[in-house]
Amino acid sequence: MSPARPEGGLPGPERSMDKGAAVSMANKVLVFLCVVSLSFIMGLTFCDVFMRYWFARPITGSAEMISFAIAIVVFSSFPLVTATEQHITVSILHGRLGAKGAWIQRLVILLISLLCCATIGRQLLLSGHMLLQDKQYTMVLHLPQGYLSYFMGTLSCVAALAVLFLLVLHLGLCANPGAGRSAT
Amino acid sequence: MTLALIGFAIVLLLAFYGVPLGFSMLAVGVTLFAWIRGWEPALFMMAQTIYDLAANDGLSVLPLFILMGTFIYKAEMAEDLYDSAYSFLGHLKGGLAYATIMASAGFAAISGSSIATAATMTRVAMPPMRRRGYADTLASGCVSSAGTLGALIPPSVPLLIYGILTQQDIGALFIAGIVPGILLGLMFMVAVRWTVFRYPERGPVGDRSSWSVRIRLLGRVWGVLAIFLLVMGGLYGGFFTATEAASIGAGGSLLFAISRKKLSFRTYVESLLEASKMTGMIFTILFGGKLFANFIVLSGLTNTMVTWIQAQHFTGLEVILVIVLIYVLLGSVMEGLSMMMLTVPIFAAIVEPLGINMIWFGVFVVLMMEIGLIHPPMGMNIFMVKTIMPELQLRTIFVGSLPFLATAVVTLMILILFPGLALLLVPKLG
Repeated sequence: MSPARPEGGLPGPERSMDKGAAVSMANKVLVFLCVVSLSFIMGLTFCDVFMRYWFARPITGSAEMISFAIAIVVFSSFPLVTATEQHITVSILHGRLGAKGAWIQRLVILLISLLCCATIGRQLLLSGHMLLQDKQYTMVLHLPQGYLSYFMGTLSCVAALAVLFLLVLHLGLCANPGAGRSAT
Repeated sequence: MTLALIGFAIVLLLAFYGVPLGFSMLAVGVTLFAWIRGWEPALFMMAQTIYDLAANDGLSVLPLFILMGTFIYKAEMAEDLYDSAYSFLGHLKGGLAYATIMASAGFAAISGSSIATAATMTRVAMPPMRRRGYADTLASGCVSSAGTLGALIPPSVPLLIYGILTQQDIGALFIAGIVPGILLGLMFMVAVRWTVFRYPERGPVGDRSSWSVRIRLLGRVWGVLAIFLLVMGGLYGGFFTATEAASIGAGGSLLFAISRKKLSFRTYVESLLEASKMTGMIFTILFGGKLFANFIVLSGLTNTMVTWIQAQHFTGLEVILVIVLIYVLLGSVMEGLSMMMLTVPIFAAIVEPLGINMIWFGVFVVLMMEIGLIHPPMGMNIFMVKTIMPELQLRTIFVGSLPFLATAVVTLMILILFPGLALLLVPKLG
């Protein structure tokens, strides 16, 4: 997630610097999580194959560790992809709408994205609560599934926040009367 | 059934409007599920489905194969593959175009992505072809079309996603992709042969390389061959599961990239981040696709359609031909992966009761996707070539890809008429 570039009617320089630092820090943490988890999956599966075929001793609970790691990869990259609007789209209308039409289109896209991310986040957090209450653990390593669901829910909420930030920027552009007139 | 059709229409509308496909399917799937069963069960189903998909060790095969392709890309193998293929085929009329197809097949075999193959081969193969006086139509048509081999020649990301969506054996799907992939590559060579036979000036003869040069150049691409043989040999011989093969492939590619001194810590991190982001994008669509499929099943659409098809006594071939028509129409407006995510859960539920082999169906769907990558007006590979070579007219690339499109359609017909081709190697898996 690259720090958002100010466009149109955006916050002042001091506030955007603070936000820029926070965004940059969040970005670094997410990148770190992605890199470490994916390296872990690759390393663990690679070692597991060798242990299984050469020493007939597979690593205990490797499947459970990998299932946790893959969820971490997916949900750490989710805010990164969402914030940079890199999700797979069909977009046959690209470049065919006028300025106002494109503005409305982006508003609709951001609103639906926000709704989806926030709903996923809320439900996964609730699900995490239920899993912890029911004391749901993995079979071999007894890893608490509730905390994983909390993690997934939290990062979905981070993605929702990123979309909300984009939405505020987008609406900020609207508040600029000059931009509004030129758009029409 | 009406509700399902309305849902399908809304998903298409939202997707065409530019809403990310994953979010379109998720929003419509959950809302209409709630329409039938209420919000509480719908939201519970959503959280459960997403959790089960994300925390699934079997799906680690996806980022690992993507990572394998990313490492190979970073290892800058494409030039060596191209030089090696050229040393063998360059002296023929249209030899550079043949070399492009061979190198694309080799690159596709480890990258798993059509668009990445087209993008890379455009950068590698277009400049020498233009320098040698190749017509832009043949050169651009060749790079855009040869890129599609990436979707069929294993390991293939689309086949992998099909396997996840339909819960088919990924190893068997990969093996099934080999013969049609080779056939398609050969058919593309027929397209080049036809072009240079009809218009000899479009593909002039290049230099003949000595055997010592050929062997030296072949020595530079041993890694690609070794990784491909290790991964596919392991799968074919039953030594590895798909996940294990993916990890061996990713680990092997990493070592290979390091041995070529192409991988610094920075590029290592970049590779992992790229693979993670691609995984995140694909999983978002998987979440949406699975939730939408849950709604479709609940709505009774697939049951109604299967009952109707059986009542009409339609044969499997007739149903497949209708699916071909739908894919051609959808492929005109949608990118391949999106098309697959949206249709496979429904089509799979329809064709399975008709006794159609689901491994064959996977290869068929991916071949339809490939055709969609080069047919107008939405051919993604065509646009990729245009993006990298903006001076080329879009029309030139589309015209250049026509002979390749025709041979891809012939391959499709062969696959439909002789389904055993795709399954030729599969029974030996057992």
